[in-house]
Amino acid sequence: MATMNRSEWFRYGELVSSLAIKDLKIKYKSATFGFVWALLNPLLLAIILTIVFSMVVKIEVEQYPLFLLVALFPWSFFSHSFSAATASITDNAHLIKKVAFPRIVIPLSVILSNLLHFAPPLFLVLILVICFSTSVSWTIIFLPLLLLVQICFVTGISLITARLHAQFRDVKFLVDASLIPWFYLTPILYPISMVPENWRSWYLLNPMAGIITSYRELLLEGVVPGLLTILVTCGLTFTICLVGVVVFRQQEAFFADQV
Amino acid sequence: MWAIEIKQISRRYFLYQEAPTLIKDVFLRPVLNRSRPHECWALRDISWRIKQGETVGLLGENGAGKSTLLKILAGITKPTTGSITVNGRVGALLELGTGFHSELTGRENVLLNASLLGIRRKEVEAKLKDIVSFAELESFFDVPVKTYSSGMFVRLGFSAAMAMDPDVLIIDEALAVGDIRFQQKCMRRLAEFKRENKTLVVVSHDLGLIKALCDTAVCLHHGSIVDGGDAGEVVDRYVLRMTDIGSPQRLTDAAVGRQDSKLSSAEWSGEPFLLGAVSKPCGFPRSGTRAMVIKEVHLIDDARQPVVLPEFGQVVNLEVAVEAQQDCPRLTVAFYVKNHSRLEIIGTNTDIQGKPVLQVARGERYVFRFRFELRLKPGMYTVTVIAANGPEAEHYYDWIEDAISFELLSPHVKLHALYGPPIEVTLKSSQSVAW
Repeated sequence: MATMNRSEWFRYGELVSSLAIKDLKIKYKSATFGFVWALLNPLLLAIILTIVFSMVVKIEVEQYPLFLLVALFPWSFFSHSFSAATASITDNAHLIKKVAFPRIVIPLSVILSNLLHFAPPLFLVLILVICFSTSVSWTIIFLPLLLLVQICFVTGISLITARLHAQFRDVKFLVDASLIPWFYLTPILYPISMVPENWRSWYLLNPMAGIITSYRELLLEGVVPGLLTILVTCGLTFTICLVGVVVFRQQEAFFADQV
Repeated sequence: MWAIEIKQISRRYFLYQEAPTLIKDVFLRPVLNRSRPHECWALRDISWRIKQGETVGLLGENGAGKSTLLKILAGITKPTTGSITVNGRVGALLELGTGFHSELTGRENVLLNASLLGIRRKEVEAKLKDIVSFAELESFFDVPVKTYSSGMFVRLGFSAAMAMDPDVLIIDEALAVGDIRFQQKCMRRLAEFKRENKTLVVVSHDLGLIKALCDTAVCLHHGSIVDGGDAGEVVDRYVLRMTDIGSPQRLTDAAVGRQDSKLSSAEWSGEPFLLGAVSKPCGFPRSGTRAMVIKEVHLIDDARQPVVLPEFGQVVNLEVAVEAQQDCPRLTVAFYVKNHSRLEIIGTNTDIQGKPVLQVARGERYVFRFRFELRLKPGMYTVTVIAANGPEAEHYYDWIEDAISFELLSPHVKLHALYGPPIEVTLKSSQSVAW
């Protein structure tokens, strides 16, 4: 389990995708129009938030619905993946207790299944941007790269929490609780430009702030994110990713006894 | 070539009084003064090597560490200390149909199961036909497994696991499922697996299965290997140990021998087979409370001549002489004739034979005679005799494993099975055939 050669990585890559597809199949089988829900939930939220923040609170942003959606769907992907991947080891106790395979495939498959789940909504956002945005720019080509950074971040942080949750059963609650303040501390409802200048560098310590802002910059503003944002966000992301993989693999041999 | 090599592994578990939480056990630890988890060693310093092609049974009472050892063998968990080397692909049937999801179809589940075991999709797709036909699930393969009966579930699990073509197969009580016909089919498949010179590790409380299937066995007790060797012998010693619990005194074999040699056997004609002298080969300890002692055991013919090399079909008398050392309110006597793989071939007790349970006073002596026909496959046999306190004995007065042995030598007799009753064959045909 500890060391794998290249063909094994390939084989287990196949496993990640089959587990993710299994996840989706089950999700869609038990609820009609499963993927519609993936669209509907953030859409409903977006409608309500639009009403609140453009009519009641009145945030001064052009095309607020689009501004919101571009941030909301990536955030939904993040929060759902993070929450589900944290519990993934304990949720799959029946597999972990009885079959030997690299445990890392489980959180990875959960993140992949969430990615596939949110692919239609993310695609929808893209279409909306192309149709309604006043300035579609070439910067849109960096979107896959940005998505990759986001996947790295959610993977890294989920590996840490999934490992902890196998050992301490309150981690999932802490994660779910943290997602609420995290949502408000990330510039989703408001542009990062509204954050006071002297707080902004602190803001960047939240990789999701950099990632969400970058979505807006690439899709709506047609600019490449600033060098500082890129360096800090990518640096943090890859550090967390590395730490995640290391701490997860350190403990994975013992998950069967903990779950 | 070793299939599995285990070097001095130990495995520790922590038993928590309540599930550990991050808040209580990490953040608030200094404040809360939580009780330290109880440490428990499930396995202690186990070294064990399994040859390629060997079929090994793993025995032990509940909590002896069997499951932990199997999990380590299967790679599901790691030992705390020590090392394990496994050559080849390990398949584990720790539970049939593991990882099957009720919403998915049989086919989807088999494919997923295979990829969990690290097998490429293409490789499995080629085998799907075999899996379905072995499991006899043709019309149900593309239906969600939630609609399966438990038998169907189990059949699919077994055939999927076997189709993955493991080099080492680990089975934990998983065979005790399915109907008789499917069980036999599984046994045939496992026999085939053995012929392919593959390694099998079996845990079962079905001791007959261990005897029939396994070449060797090891016995775990409190996390250590306490016995190992020929499967039949290990099983019988295990049974003796398990039934011996609570016996007040345990005579050493030497003491038994001395005692027996002093006996006069006035009631007996013919050469007595002294106890101790014949029971040595396998080295089974004699067990029981000794409130009643088996003094002598003889195998004689109707002319009261001792039988050492009986013929196929010969009628023999097994005589068991007992003497009460204390008052014994209930006495039944039982015997087993066991073959070389220690399967019980013939066996009964006085109660099964419709005889009353005896009340015996101290000092009384009895001779029990069992008369039966030896229609057995030629080979070595041993006879185990037991004096017990009633048919559903809570304890045994005296239990002598392999009290005597005999060899059935009938080279002209060809048997395909262990037992050869008289068989009459007739032929009916529409044509007139001379037969």
